[in-house]
Amino acid sequence: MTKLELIKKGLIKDNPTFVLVLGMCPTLGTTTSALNGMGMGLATLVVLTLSNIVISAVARYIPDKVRIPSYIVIISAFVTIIQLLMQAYLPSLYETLGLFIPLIVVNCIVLGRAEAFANKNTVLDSACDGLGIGLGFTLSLTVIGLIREILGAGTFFGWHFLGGDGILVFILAPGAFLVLGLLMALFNKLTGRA
Amino acid sequence: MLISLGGIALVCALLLAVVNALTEKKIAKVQADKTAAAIAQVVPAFDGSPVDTVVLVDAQEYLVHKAMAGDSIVGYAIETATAGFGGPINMMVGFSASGEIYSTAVVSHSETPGLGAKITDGESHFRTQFEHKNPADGYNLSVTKDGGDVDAITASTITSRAFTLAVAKAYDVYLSVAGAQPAPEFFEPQDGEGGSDD
Amino acid sequence: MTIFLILISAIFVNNIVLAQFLGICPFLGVSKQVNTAVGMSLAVTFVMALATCVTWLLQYYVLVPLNMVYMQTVTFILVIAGLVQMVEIILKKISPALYQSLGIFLPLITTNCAVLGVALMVVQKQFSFGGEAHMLNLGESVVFAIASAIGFGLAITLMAAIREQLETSDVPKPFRGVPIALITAGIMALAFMGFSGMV
Repeated sequence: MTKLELIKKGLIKDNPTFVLVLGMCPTLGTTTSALNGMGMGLATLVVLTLSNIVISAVARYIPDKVRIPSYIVIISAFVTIIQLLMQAYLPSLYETLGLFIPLIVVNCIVLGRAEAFANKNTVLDSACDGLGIGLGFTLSLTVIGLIREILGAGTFFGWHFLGGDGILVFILAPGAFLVLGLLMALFNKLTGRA
Repeated sequence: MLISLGGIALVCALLLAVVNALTEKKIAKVQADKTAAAIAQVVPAFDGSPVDTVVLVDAQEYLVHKAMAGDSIVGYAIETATAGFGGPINMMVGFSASGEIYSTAVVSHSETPGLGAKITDGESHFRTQFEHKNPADGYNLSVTKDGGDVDAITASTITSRAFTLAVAKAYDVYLSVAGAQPAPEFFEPQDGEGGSDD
Repeated sequence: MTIFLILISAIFVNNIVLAQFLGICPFLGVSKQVNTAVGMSLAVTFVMALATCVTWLLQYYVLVPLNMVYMQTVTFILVIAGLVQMVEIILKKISPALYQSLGIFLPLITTNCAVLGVALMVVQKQFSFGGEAHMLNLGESVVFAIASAIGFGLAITLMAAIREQLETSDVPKPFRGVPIALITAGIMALAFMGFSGMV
């Protein structure tokens, strides 16, 4: 597979949200608007790419017995770095995403890619894989956030195109489940996976 | 086996210590800027930086920022926290030297988006109705449903009550700091039932 | 009274799954049968209470005095992973019967974000529970953890009961599996919104 194909497969074929059904907590919890979803997706993308790179580089030196704890330490170190940087330079986004930033540690996508891809591939391939899956995740979260924002608040990336408030329930907790459920069914229908 | 795990942990800890040292000052500054911005928003224009004091009212500590212009006090910004609908609401409530509510700012909250979260909208009627009102002149700080003068946000009575309570608490703190006793005939208990005098 | 308010708040009003979106993976993955859902909830309750207790102590007696709060995420997840391993080994030795029923769920709990989520929440956020906003003390934190776990158990058990019924109904093809589960969860979340404002 070429590098470009590696990146591309994360977008549709191996889309982490709609195909692999991983990382559901941030997908539901942070998509109250397109920008929030995009911010969460990008934070995950950075952690995923960096941890993929480091893990693919050091994997062969780590004994099998302490493999998982070592990966967790590496991933949580990158998560903390992102967390500190966001607190310093993107404080309002950090406040909105809140608990879901440290929780990237337990996002199954990150540990999943380390186990399934990074520990048996080259550094460059792992970086591409991380980028691709990260972009797929960011794309899904942005789309879900956008749909919830349009329906629930009557805004488009924060721009008010509607006089009123929109259908509030789509911004609230039930809307997250309903929108994701319906989108997933639509995705199944369109890709003929059903 | 333990050596490699320990090594990884050590490298990561060192890396984090470095990043922490690099961002620590900036994060502290972001916090300080946020407080400073909230103070500037709720009191009239002032010189230099506000003077901070801790005040004890009803066995509860409050942080009061006194805004000075020259030698005279132009306003008080008081930090309060109350229990809202979804969790605590942290606020900065500003009074001018004469004791009227100058403005309010919501520092943090976890109210429902689209409903209670409207308290963050400084332009809304709910927020502007407090401005330039003086509780000493009989402005009753409780929502109309409870017999007061504050119009609650539609469908968000609990949030509106919490917000109003925060302003009322801040007023108590203001009274104890400024020592400005209101004229007795206008003085009403904070959770009194009666409406306004007119 | 506070304990009662914490319980109501964490189980119904701010249900960890349906209102805060934590622990969604096991909520969708281990909710096909009521039996397994109950087993999972018991294991989560045990680990969550224990983990919150240990991480709370670690936060206030190690990280804060040493000025190393930035190591929070790293140490908390390692503690949780270690605890889960330990519980597994002890359970295997002491009660093979219990291990038989709960053992399979234990490895899954390390990556249950509800456990790390609750441990982080009690040391990062102020809670009000109808009174003054404050940081939770050790006792309140453990009660909050147990209450959150009960909330998780309630949501996952209800979900499993509904999904057992769904098995026999004719769901349109694209909706089968996760999509219909999500829509069910959405309707449950709507119902749980009825509790909001109670505490």
